[in-house]
Amino acid sequence: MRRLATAVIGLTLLLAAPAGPAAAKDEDLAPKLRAALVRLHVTTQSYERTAPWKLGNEYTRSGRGVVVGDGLILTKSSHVMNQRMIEIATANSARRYPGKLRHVDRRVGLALIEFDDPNLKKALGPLPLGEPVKLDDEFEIHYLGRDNIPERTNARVIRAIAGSTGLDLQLRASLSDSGDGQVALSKEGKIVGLVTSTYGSRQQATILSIETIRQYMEDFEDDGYHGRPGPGFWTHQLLRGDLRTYYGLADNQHGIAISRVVPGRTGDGVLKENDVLLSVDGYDIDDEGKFVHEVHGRLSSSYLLSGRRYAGDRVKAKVLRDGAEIEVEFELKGQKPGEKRVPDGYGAGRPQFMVIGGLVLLELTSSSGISRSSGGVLLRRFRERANWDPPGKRKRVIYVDRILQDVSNKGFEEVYHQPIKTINGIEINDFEGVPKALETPEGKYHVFRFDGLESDYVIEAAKLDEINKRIADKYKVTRMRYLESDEDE
Amino acid sequence: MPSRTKNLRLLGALAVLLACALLVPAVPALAGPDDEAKAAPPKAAPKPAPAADPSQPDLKKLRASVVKVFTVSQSENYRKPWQRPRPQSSSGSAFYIGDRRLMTNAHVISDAKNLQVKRADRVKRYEARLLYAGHDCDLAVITVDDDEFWEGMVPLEIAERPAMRSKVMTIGYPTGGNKLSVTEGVVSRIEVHTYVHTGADDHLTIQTDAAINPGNSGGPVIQNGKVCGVAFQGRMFAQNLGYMIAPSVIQHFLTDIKDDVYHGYPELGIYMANLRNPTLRKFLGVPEDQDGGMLVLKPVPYASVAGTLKKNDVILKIDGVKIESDGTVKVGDEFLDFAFVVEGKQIGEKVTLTVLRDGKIIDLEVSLKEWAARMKPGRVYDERPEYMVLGGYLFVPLTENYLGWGRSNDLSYYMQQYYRTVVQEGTSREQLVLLSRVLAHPSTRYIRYGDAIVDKVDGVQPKDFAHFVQLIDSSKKDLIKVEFEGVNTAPLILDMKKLRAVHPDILKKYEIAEDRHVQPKEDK
Repeated sequence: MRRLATAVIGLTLLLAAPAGPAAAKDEDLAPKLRAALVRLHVTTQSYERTAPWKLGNEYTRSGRGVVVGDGLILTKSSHVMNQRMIEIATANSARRYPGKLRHVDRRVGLALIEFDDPNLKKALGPLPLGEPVKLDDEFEIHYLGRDNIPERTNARVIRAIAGSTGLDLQLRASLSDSGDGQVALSKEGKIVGLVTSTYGSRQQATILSIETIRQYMEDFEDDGYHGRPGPGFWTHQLLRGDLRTYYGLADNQHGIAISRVVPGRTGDGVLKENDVLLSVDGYDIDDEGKFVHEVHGRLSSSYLLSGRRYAGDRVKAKVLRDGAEIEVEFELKGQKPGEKRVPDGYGAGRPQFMVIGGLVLLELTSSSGISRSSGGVLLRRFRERANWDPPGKRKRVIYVDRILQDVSNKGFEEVYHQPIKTINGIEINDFEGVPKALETPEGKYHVFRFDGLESDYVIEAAKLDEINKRIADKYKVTRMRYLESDEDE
Repeated sequence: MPSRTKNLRLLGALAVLLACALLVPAVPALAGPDDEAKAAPPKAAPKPAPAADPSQPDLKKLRASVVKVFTVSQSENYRKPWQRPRPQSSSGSAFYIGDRRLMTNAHVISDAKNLQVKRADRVKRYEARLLYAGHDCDLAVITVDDDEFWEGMVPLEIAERPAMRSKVMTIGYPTGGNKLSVTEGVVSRIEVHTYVHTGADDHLTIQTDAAINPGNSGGPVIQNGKVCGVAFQGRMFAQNLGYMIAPSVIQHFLTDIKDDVYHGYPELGIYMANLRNPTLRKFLGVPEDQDGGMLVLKPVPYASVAGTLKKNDVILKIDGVKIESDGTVKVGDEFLDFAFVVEGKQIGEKVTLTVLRDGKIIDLEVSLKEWAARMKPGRVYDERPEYMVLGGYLFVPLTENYLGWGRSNDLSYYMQQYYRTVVQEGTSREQLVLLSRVLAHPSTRYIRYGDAIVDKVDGVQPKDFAHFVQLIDSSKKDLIKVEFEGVNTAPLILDMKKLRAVHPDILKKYEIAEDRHVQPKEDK
């Protein structure tokens, strides 16, 4: 009964739709558009960071996407965060088909989902990628609304915002707050952006620009995905008179000062601290670190150095050094996840952990909750300096998150958020180092030393298995470790 | 478990704003001068009228010895140190200890600009003045120059520490009325506790269920006619929890001021950890016949044990008294923090620590010193804040008082860093210097800093604020580079010629009468 009712409403609205503006053109486009819009039902499952052996609750959320190739859907990366199952629904249908995550770049904010169901392939077809839109341009935003009925709204570009991951456009558009992943289409029915956030009350929305989408799609065309360059050198704005004097800028010279070149990262060996970056790729940089883009106007120079670039690209730049303007060229270095001392935590999958003699060991990530304890201050410092210091030997920061109380760790109840410096005298530089260090006890003991001013933590080596078993039983710890190198996930 | 931690708790100092007291709508009309027994605060459970108990004091005698203190205080403005905040009126209690001296709490008279006292049996208010203030133990002694005031006053004696559950009586001038108030209760707990006045000092404290309310501060707690404590703080969001300063702390203060100067408590200065873990004990080689002891993590520089104790020493005894594995010593039936043993000692006295080091038990004699770094761990009073206005830049030292004015999370985070740097690492840097803020002026366009910690002045790290000022003053350069701590904080380039040119204009615009207040190290 209910299904029938839905179908009737759907039909009514569908019939009503062509009565909108620009109806003539719509008639040609409508079936093609409908065939490219999908709704995604993604079941996610997160992890309990403070009890990492436990899986979190499952939730199914719905998002939206657009078909961009044969069996390929483009969507927002946040839709597929911690995904366990992806289902795809098409316009005017309640049926769901299985989908699979092909690729995700959380930094850029995009993901690709693939499907191979022949019926779905028959029902869906891709839309082409369009040309850049600029300030004041008008276009439409299309999406599957309630009951998967295609809906659309008008939009106009009000602002361009660029950064190290790409170019976003802010729109005046009447979209509800209830979801995103809607697709922005030109009048010719070409993709010009993907909605990443909506502010219904302000009648505003943000789209990821077609430039950034195209860059993401084209990244797969050669020998594998590169992504954006990683964080490189650090800069200061030079609006202030005192700094302009210090860096020796003439009144007609403009740019930003290079405050630190991180060893091993972009610019290392070419740029020097106290250089002033005057231009990149022929674009002049102003004192605020912005440049004038031919289409989008003033944008952040991080777009030139990272947002519109692939890791591994080379750029030409002009710098002021010791009073002379010189031309330099350098590589925009990528950063693999393993090269970050403090990796991204949010949505990054299962956190690595070990439970050893009641100590719950975690890896410091960008999303670790950090207390104001003495150890928490140290962790926060590690995190603040993550892109400032080169990772060096200490690739990751392993810390005691808390203690599962047991007779064996009496007296250590208050150990909390303490970074571990050594175990059995061996420096702990990543999680793999922990089981390795435990192979060679100091005499009869496993000895944990912390970065902060704390007592050594000791476990009798011969009793470790017994203690672990007792703690596992008492606190129902279903697994005592998960390291990325463990093969079962 | 450091021996000295910043330990702000939900305790409220009890000096009450007079303005607030006046706002209490129904001021109970007390019948007459002999009705103190009825003057208990309205919330207290009805208690039977005091029976003719021979152990109970003569109230008439006490009435003449317990006085009300009226204070107008003006503290400091740490954000605009050239200004003073508006004066505030408050009141507290005090009692006669003989020799024309009244004892009260330091927090009753701190930053006082005007001090008056009034006896319960007189109408007149007498001008009073401060003799000694011990902010670290929240005690003070004041006096009145007018001879008339002292007529008929009987000094109160200081008693021994009262026993648990023994009856006590609080006398003073709490909020809710103007006349002398008496409340009764028992000793509920005896413990070493943080004194909130400075927020950094822990001393013996006696807890009672006799109502102690704002205004009671500085009043005596009486047992058998003698003073067994000075009411001084309470706890918010709890019931019938009043705290008094223990007699040993009072005696320490009185002994200290015998030479007419208050020196304060010595600082032992040990970061330590408990030794309750049997495996850790075995690992450290603590003999099995020992069941107590505390593990030394670090002797703090600028304090007494620096140079005597070493990391991984196990402190077994202090002055021959056994230290338990949780850091307490047994005193009578109570286990008290072992700092209690040092409580009775004055700066310059000695203490013997029995220590297990490298398998041997040795006795180490430690001379007790006061805290010797420019950075103070607690709040200070009756001191002008140090600062320097340089053109549009305000530089200050980072202090607990400064933190009290700004409640930014980042600042308190840096405060923790600051403890690490100054207390734990014990470098030559005794105090951190902040660029507190930048005053808006054409010369400071685009320049924004808030509480930036100065790292270096032309490559030299300032040891303390006075050193920072000296580095700036003595520099002959036209451009001075001030670098800051933290990730990617731009340096500040002080163009001294330009600064000197705009300096008078900024002082005028912001009505800064004095552009600096710097204390040289000597008169610390």
